Amino acid sequence: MSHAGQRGLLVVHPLQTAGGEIDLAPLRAGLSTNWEEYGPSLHRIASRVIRQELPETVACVRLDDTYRVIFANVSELHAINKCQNIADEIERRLTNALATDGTPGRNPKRRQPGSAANLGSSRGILRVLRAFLRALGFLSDTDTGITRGHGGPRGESVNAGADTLKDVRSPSGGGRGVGHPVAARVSATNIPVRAHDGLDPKELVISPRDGLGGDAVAKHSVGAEMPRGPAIADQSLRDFMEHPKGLPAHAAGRNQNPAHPKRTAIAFPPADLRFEFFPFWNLMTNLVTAYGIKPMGTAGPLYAAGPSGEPRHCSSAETFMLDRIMLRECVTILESSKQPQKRALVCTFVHARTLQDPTMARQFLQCCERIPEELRPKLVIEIADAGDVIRSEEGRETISNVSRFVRATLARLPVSVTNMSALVALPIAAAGCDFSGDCREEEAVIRDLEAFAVIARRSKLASYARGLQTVSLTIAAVAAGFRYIEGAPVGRSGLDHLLEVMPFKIADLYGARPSVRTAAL
Amino acid sequence: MQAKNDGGQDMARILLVEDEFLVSETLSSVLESGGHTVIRAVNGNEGLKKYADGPFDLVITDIIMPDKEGIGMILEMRRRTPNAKIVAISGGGRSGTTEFLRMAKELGAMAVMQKPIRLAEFSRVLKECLATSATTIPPIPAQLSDNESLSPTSQ
Repeated sequence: MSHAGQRGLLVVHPLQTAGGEIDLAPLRAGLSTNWEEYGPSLHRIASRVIRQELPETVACVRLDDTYRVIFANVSELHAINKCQNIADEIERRLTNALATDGTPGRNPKRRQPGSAANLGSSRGILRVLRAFLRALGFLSDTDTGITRGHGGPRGESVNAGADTLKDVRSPSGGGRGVGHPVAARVSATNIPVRAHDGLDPKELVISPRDGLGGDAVAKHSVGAEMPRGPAIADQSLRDFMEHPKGLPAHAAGRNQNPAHPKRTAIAFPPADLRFEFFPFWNLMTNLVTAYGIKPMGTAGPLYAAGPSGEPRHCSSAETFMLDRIMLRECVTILESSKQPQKRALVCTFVHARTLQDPTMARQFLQCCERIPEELRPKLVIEIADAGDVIRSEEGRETISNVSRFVRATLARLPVSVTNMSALVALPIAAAGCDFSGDCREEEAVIRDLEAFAVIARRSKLASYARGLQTVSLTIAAVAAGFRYIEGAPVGRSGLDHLLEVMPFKIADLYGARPSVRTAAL
Repeated sequence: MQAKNDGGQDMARILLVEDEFLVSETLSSVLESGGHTVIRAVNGNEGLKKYADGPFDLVITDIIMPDKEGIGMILEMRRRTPNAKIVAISGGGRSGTTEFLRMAKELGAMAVMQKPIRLAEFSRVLKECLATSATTIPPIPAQLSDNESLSPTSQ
């Protein structure tokens, strides 16, 4: 981001800022003289990850081997957690690529520009990096998997002995450095804002505030649990969904030893995680026939706008964790809603990242396998960013496998999609798009809605629209021919009315009678 | 006493709410050629603003529009002016259109027309609406007359 961009951010949020650093210096040290040749490629990977993980409104500047990130309106704790997540993701890209290198075709998705496997034509860098990461304990001796994780799965041979983490908080307060190829730490808090031009990025860094020690981080974040619903009757199912085999306990959302002083801060799932259910209005029947789950935090939705729906700042391990928690929540709701009037379906979603990673996809399928048979006809799974998943044979197979355990599979696509023919051969019940957080002019959204519906019809697919924020957009979606509509005008459901099949007509958008929108809240 | 146009028809002040430029342009020129004064708006919000600057003898509105669609706007206008004369038009061939027009009728639109609009029919409907007394317009259904239920997005 340019200096002007940083200035803009700081001026808008002058009072509460926190800085974090993501440092590639350990990598430079590990690569020694090879750094000159391969450093730029590693920086490309890092920049790419940072770009993906941070919203555009967050300022980031690179100074030598350090990426300095300035967050607005977040705590230091939040800043360090975000930076750690990003550092994790950079490590994961490096280690996954290195672990799978030499086994052509095993994971072709990773052979793309910017991946570690394409660092250069020479294999020398791979050898050096492997040796370096192995020395740090990030690669197993056989190179077939990655040993112990740092907030997420590390390939097939993840070591559950998370207590042996080498994380050592940096003297600057929080974060990690020693023992990791990519370091993350707090760099500054409450950064002073200068109104004049010519802001030097180096001036952004001041001494960290005292008192942000490791304990503070651990106290606030380790062992944070989501609010829990009614117990799942099948204890083994609950256990499995919370602690899938092969994942470190802390990565599965529950910490076995929260008092461990060296444990890395876990920002996910956040303590304020809760779920809301949004009714799907079926235009064919004029009924609300399904309820879609959405994860929420105090600060708002825990999902991003657009087809991927990936929560900001979350690593793939965390999104996987969220997927699992949402699935568990839906199963819980279904189990506890056995009254005759609660006949509606419940719809959860799974992120593309989860299904694209072979290990996580397998784990997710294992979760699906444990859904009780009698509940499967009432569960729908939406594949977020399905267009990305179906590009690979493995992805298509995964979707087919997932669909075996649920009533229907939905495919969420970018609204700009121009062809849905690839979905026709798959067990996809409907294709749709999500407009949550879409800030464009309504005129543009309506154009996209109409185009999407036309393309879906051309492929003989039912279509659905989610996250419509206004009545005018909802009316436009009805006119465009969407079969299912979810959004603010249709309402959201309180727990009392959850899973109730309710009549819903166009007039209800205008408050014609108590409906899910008014009665259920 | 209202002024009369060449055909002996009263010259009216008409609010035309339509987001499609070509449709708006065409209808506007037809209305103006009949000697009427046309005030144009491109969506329901703008329509309501201009309606407040009224009075208008007739409102012609599309249904599917950005920012505020026609049904919500009709509802709001009828709440403000129970005897407002309104003609609703909506796109043809798309699903939901019939339902929208039926609903507009329920809300007290004097006439509804489906696009594409034939000018002869448009002129006939216009003449009928301007000639009809506003007292014949039925009140809006009671369940929709509550002002508080107008803001579903605020929840």
